[in-house]
Amino acid sequence: MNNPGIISLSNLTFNYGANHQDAINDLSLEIPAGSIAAILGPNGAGKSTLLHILLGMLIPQSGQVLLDGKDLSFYSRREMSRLVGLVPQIEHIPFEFSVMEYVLLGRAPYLGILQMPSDVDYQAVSEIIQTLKLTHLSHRAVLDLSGGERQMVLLARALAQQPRILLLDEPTSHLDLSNKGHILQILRDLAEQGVTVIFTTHDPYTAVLSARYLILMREGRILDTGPIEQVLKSDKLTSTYGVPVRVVKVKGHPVILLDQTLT
Amino acid sequence: MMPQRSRLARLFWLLGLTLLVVLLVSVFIGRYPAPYWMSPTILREDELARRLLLSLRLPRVLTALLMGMSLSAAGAVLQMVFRNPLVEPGFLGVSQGAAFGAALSILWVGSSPIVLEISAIIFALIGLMLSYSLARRMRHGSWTLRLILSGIAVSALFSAGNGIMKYLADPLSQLPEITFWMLGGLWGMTWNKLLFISPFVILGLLIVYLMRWRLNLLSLSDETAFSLGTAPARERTLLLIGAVSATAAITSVGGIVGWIGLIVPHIARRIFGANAQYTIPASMVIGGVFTVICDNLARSLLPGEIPLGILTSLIGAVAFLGLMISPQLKMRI
Repeated sequence: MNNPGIISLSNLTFNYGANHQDAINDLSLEIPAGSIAAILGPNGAGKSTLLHILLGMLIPQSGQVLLDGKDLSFYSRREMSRLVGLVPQIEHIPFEFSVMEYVLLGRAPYLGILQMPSDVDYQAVSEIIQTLKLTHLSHRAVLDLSGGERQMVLLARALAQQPRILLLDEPTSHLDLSNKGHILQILRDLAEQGVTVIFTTHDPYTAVLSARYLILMREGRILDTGPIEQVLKSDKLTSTYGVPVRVVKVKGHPVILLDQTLT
Repeated sequence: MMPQRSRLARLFWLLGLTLLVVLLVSVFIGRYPAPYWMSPTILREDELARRLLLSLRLPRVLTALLMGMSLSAAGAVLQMVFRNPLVEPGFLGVSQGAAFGAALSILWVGSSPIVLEISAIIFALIGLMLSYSLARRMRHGSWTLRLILSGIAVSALFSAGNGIMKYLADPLSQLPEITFWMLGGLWGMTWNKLLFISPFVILGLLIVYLMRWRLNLLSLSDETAFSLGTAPARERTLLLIGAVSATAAITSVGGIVGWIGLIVPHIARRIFGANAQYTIPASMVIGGVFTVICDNLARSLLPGEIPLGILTSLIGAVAFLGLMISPQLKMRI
């Protein structure tokens, strides 16, 4: 059965050179297509490293990444760019691209190295801009936008790739509550359309709001992985963050509390 | 929907037309038979005027055009690839490296145009590599600042090297040639020299022109450029080699001509926005027009020739200051 967007990791180990400790150690996980997985952990836990491995930018020392059942290293660069999109944590754009021009860059996977975007590409980009309700911004410079607007534009650029797997690095860390809710809603919609979404976050509550799978990381170690109901436990979060954390249920929804009453 | 496509098309027609008019008028500007202007009608009776126009002015005007195109395109490529709006060939050791290579070749290898040119290209690439790798190793300051500082240091090293070679040079046969590169200028340009440099210049410009939309992708961060399917290191290197070869080849006949590569891409971005699909051709045409006009002034304003490099620095630096303090400045550092 063809199950596009399925990701399976087996015994993945990665380090940045022989003298460094492993940034990722013996990670095995299966993420079904169309689900949302959060890589959760404190800053500096190696979360971005895992994203870069899924992107094919870093090559693991051992273990395997299978996308759609095929080893990642067997994909061509072009195939990968059509399959996997990335929303980086910060995109420093030194020139004044308009929103339209910037989102159009996401069409690169469908264009040859010497090709210019055509009406088809402009059409595709207009639709994405419309879906994300950015039409009123399309001629503004990306540099002039607010943090929330800019995050939406980065997302639009990645969606112009029409990826089946979407990677996001701390997509909500700079956003206020309403923008955070907006982005997470869009991620859930995308997952419903069959896109596999993987994002990193240092905030357990962001993960709770959207993810079905959790990967807990701390100092380059994978502490636990699996469906969120199994992983989101007080003791596991406590060892992830190194401070007492309690998971309580409010009206059936898990809420994470910093447990300072105990100390 | 294509954004303002008709407006862009109109602007390009206007630019193209300006270029044609400037080129046409330029061959009649000079100091023969009288200062400033040669009436086209005298071409019919004056044999000397005809020869002057065809074998001296025409190759010189065309070289000035190629020079402006190369320096501006190279400036735009360097700014985008290094994600730094404040660099140009003269700030990154490219121009000085090329001049050093040319001087070295005159002194010890020989001054045949092709040897000179290849030596210029090799040292221009070395200059760029040095500037880049030094900037990567520097500990302090932002990337923008580090790249400029290391570029200035490398340029100064090559300039010092050139100064030493001036002392070693034979004052009668070699010194004038070397001095010429330090000031920059196109006097003594012939069809023959133009023929030698054009393959490198045209090939370099062609690479940049054809990859112009791709250049946008390569101005993004490594991870984003990679996720969009590019091979960032390889493609950036290809573009840099194209830009540097064109610049070095033109420097091997025209010497160090500064500021064009900095100022012209900024003007082009002001008019056409950041998209390199438009700013690359616009930079080439605006740079061509600007350099041809500067060279016209250089050869006709005074009875003696004014070095072109001095004129472009004067105009370029003033224009740059104007852009920097203008309130609607479209640049972020």
